[in-house]
Amino acid sequence: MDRQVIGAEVAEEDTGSAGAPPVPGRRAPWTARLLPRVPGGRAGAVAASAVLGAMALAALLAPVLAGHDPVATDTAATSLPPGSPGHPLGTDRLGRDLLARMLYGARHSLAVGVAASAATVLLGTAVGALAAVAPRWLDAAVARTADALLALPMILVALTLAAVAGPSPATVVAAIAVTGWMPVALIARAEVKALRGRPFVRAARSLGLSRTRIFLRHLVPNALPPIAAVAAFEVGHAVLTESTLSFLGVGIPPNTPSWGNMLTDARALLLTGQWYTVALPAGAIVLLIIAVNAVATGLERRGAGEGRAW
Amino acid sequence: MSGAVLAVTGLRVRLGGRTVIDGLDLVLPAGRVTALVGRSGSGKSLAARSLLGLAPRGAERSGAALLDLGGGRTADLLAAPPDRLRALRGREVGYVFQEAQASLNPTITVGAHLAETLKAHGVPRGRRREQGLAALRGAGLDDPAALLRAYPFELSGGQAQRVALALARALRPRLLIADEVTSALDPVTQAGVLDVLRADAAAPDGSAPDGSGRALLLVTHDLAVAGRWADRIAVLDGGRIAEEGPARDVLAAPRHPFTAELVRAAAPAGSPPGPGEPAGAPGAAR
Repeated sequence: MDRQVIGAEVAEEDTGSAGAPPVPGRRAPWTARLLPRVPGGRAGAVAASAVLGAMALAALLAPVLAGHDPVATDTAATSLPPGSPGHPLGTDRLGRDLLARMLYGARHSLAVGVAASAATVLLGTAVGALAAVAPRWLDAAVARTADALLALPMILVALTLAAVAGPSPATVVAAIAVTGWMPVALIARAEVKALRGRPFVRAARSLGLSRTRIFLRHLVPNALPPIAAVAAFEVGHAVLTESTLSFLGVGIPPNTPSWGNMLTDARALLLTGQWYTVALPAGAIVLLIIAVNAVATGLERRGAGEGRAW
Repeated sequence: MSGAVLAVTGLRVRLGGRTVIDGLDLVLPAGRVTALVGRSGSGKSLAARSLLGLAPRGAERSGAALLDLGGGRTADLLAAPPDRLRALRGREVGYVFQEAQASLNPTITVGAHLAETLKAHGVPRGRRREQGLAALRGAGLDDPAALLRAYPFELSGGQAQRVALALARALRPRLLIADEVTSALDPVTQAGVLDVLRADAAAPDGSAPDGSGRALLLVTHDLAVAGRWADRIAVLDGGRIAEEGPARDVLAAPRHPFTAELVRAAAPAGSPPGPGEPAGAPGAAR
């Protein structure tokens, strides 16, 4: 009885400075808590999020919005400029509608970008976090390997991989993940190493939790915030790499619309007055990467500004 | 009253090429609170953590620490293989750390903390919630059902310390080690937490089916806390127990020069230190 009263007094006293007693249990799941923070209340990040949302929506609604088959050629309507009747963004040399190709291209570029960055982050996090809890020699080997790979020009490695495996979206995803995991792994490794000394990890050990449980439930989730910021940058990097590989002919198969492929098709037209065939996909790529980076920066700032994980 | 819950003999811990604990002998009797006191940096926490294999990487331990598991069974904590030690942690020996808020994972709720601890020791799913609530209630927390859904940052310092306490005692361990648990708390919360700890050590006295009891090791630098809540005081100096005995005797008539120095330092200026309160009635004076 006495103890209950003391406990109640203390609870009030301790939270007095915060202005209100704690309201435990009124907490949304972490997804709901994370998402509204992406814009972070900053105009730039809000605009960037809107751009990304619009791009994703346009990609999803491509069949509704396009009005044309993105791969259907029309010899009667080749090289039309933007604003032509029935072809708001014009057509290319083969008479394919550029709006349709842009919209369908967004599907491939965004899907490959997201899939490749997810694969990169998963691979990097797994390698880095496991290295941090592995025996010292293995940890050192992973860290040195990552350092060494970072010193290689990765576009050449990706190009070689993609060329050997043949052009396909899966090849592009694999090539990007294999060449991009190192920075993520080094961050994950450093985070997990730092977390290992934290009191809550020691407390988890003192309660008899298994190493696996501590790794999966206590170390990895708490290492995620800085990785999440890197992950957002990785999306931009992956889209750019996909475009580059497609442009070089080893990415998305040639006839499939993707922004990188559109650039490949249009490069010969850059100086012939049909600048828009280059400007449209290039502009879309630039806009996407700027938007992704703005959101990533917002995410990073929020992560750095708070003392807790999410 | 039965014998010792834990008997430590010749504990030596080397860390970074230096022998920090050098032949520590300590017996923790059942049903009693034993305080391990010493100045900051004397190795109290290191000694306590070494028992559970929680000392920093690179620490070398030797000696024996026999834990009574009841029914005539014992386990040597210092010789137990990692899996065995893991199974003993939490179930047979609970450990509460000083930094309560920091000793809770910020990404999971109090309920998840309790559930994973109970699960790790094989408590069936159907009983975890009930046992978790009982642990929170036992640690003196009101409205435990709401607390199950709370995240650590939503707790006050006192609540966090009680939650950490609830976690450590969720499986009713035979030995509870409280490592400077009240250093960061105000006196009222401190008293509440220490009462819970004390009641734990006293509760099963004589009621355990095999006559064995529980013990509490209170690691503290605060002689006043030790004097008020401990039955016995062991003074750590130079990596060994310099003096050990009933709290009242140690405080009233310290035999070792270091203990005398500690007692003098803890006493208010101009007055000799009063002996600890009569053991077993710590709440009477409040």
